[in-house]
Amino acid sequence: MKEALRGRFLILYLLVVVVLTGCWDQQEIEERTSIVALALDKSTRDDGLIRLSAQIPIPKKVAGSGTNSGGAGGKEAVKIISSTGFTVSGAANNLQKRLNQELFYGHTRVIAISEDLAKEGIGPILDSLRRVPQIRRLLWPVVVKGEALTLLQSNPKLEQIPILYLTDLLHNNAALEIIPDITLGRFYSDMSDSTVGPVMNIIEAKGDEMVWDGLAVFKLDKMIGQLNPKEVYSFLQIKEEKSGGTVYVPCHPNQPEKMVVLKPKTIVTKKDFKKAGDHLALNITIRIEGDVVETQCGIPLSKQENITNIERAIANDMKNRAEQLIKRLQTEMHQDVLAFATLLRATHPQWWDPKTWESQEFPKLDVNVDYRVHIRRTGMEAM
Amino acid sequence: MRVIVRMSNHNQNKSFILSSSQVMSLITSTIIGVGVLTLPRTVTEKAHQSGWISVLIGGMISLAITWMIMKLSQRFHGKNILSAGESVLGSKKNKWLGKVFAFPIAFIFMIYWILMTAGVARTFGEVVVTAVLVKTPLEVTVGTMLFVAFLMVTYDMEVMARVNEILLPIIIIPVLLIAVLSFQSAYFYRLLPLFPLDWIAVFKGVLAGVFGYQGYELMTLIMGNIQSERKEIRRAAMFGIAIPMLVYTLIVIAGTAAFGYEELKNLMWPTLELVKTTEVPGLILERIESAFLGVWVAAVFTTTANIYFAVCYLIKQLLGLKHHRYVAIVMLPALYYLAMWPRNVHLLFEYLTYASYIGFISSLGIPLFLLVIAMIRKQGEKQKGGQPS
Repeated sequence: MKEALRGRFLILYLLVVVVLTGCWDQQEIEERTSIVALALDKSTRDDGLIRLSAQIPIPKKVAGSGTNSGGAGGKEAVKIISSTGFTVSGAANNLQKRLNQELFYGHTRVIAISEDLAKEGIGPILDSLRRVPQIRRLLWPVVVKGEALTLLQSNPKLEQIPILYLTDLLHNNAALEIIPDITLGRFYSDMSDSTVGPVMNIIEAKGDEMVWDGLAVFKLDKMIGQLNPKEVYSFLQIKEEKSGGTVYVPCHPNQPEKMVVLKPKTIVTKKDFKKAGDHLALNITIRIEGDVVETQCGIPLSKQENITNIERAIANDMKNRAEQLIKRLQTEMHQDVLAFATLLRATHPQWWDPKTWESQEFPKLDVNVDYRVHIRRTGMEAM
Repeated sequence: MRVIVRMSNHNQNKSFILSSSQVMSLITSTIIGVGVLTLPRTVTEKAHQSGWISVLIGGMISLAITWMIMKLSQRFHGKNILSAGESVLGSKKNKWLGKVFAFPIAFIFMIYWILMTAGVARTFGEVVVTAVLVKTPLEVTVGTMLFVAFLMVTYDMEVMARVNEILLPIIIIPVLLIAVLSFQSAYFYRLLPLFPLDWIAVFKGVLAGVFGYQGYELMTLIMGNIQSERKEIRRAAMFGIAIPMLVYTLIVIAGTAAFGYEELKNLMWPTLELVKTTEVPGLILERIESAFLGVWVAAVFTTTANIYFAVCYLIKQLLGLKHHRYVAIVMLPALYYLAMWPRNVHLLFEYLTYASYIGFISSLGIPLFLLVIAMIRKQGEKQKGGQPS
């Protein structure tokens, strides 16, 4: 009796197994249209709509996928398609209407936003991106000079899927500490954070070139200005504690055209707030160690005196750049892009007032930047 | 399976005694469940950057409650909260008096556990439907979870204990790994300032984080099946709380350091986002969130099934039924209906918060109440007499 009952249970379990294997979401990979990059523009007809463009790789044209017809690289490997709508998801919906397969955003690597749109505010755009689980936090948002669509159309020819050129460019240069590592997740966090002004990389598409052109500075969700690559150099050193790449300065004030080039290797940034009476001051000490990679001056570097002079010249140059950047942020943009407030809130919360920081305290903040440059090596050349 | 069935049939009349590792895994895997996905948000919403302190304090409160339940268990050896309540509140002459007085106790736990089982199953369904299986109907995800839990509940406590014992490492190791790996995107200034500590905010954070620790009340049920006079059993119960405490603290620290508390507010499932931004070194697994969710299903299953088991066992005991299996069958549609009750995910969170308050107050209040009455009436002292506590 009991054995029979057990047998019946077995049948029940088998039935359960059959039912449980059903998968509502199963979808063949060729039944979806993967997007690698999205571009967001204002509609060209000036009707207040958003134009969403997508770069879609054509699987058959990408080399190594069976038919070897592709591989030439270039425009044939991707398709660019645009659609407009009142909102991002509306535009995406309209885009879907024109495609034979279902759109899939899981492979999106770049989200390009046009400068015009960024200046109007990207809050509504980001809201729709935040709600879609397929959009990953590790993709790269960029502001594009001019039309964002131009970035998708640009083809540097080194990658089959052109936008992967940009992701590699951003990724590798971020690893080299030349370009800030700003992913979508980081931009979200900075935007929510009341103590830091969010920034986003700017890319310009010039024909077949994709050129990194500094940082877009945001206030809340609106782009209010731009930091040029030279300013980003100081930005990286002060905020991110990253070297920023090589720097060249004149060896001697008398000969401004003869340069010496330093490649920083390690950097240590220390920030310290002090309060003298009612006045808040910030001391930034940056210690850089690096190698000389090039000189045009013809002075022997084996002499300690020359090395000391070069170190001083580089330190001065960096200090000037940093001070210019800070001055510009304080007087022109009124935006704490360097995240001084993050540090102030973390270390001296009693001195930080969220309401008046940006309008009153930050512009008046007394910032002293002090660079200490140490040249450790001079390369393979003995002199 | 056949062996287990036979053994458990054999053990049906004699009460089964849990080993120390089973006690630990039962408590740990019941606690770690859906809460782990939302905890960084819920605590930092109130306690801001000090959220992890709230989690630690919450853990300590849970430890204190565990200790109390263990004390109660030492007094009433082999009795769970219901039978202990019956003997505390009843008198020797009129046994029915105890039953009458103990009924509200059982009733509160029953209501709470029912709400919790349904709520956990629904939260599971919501996560799966929003983040992974977008096209799968909610009815299916919730239904399957409840059904699988039901399958486990049809067996005895021994089976439940063993299932938990097996699943524990599968749950703990990946969650710990995620917490540690996600420190790569951490920015530790976000955890500052530590002082001055806003105690009111931290306390609010504790209340918000209470939901994360729900599940240790299972101990009020299994206290009838442990040898609480043994020190290692009591220690195992404490460890059962300490493990989730460690996991939760790490997850909250990682979440706060990676996102900042202001961003955490905006994230529906912060731990899932944390997993998404985590890269495994060497790019072995690029999108570990699918692996993480797979593991997390096991964590939710143990929570759902254990609490489901607790309800059925309690009701069986209350009604004097032969086996809790029959209760489980009746309960299944009710639980499903209840799980589908909240109209949207925000209401669900609201209901779950209320439910967790009931749970917190009852799991704190009832053992304390019983312990105090037992002390006043000097009950269960004899058992204690021989044992140094």
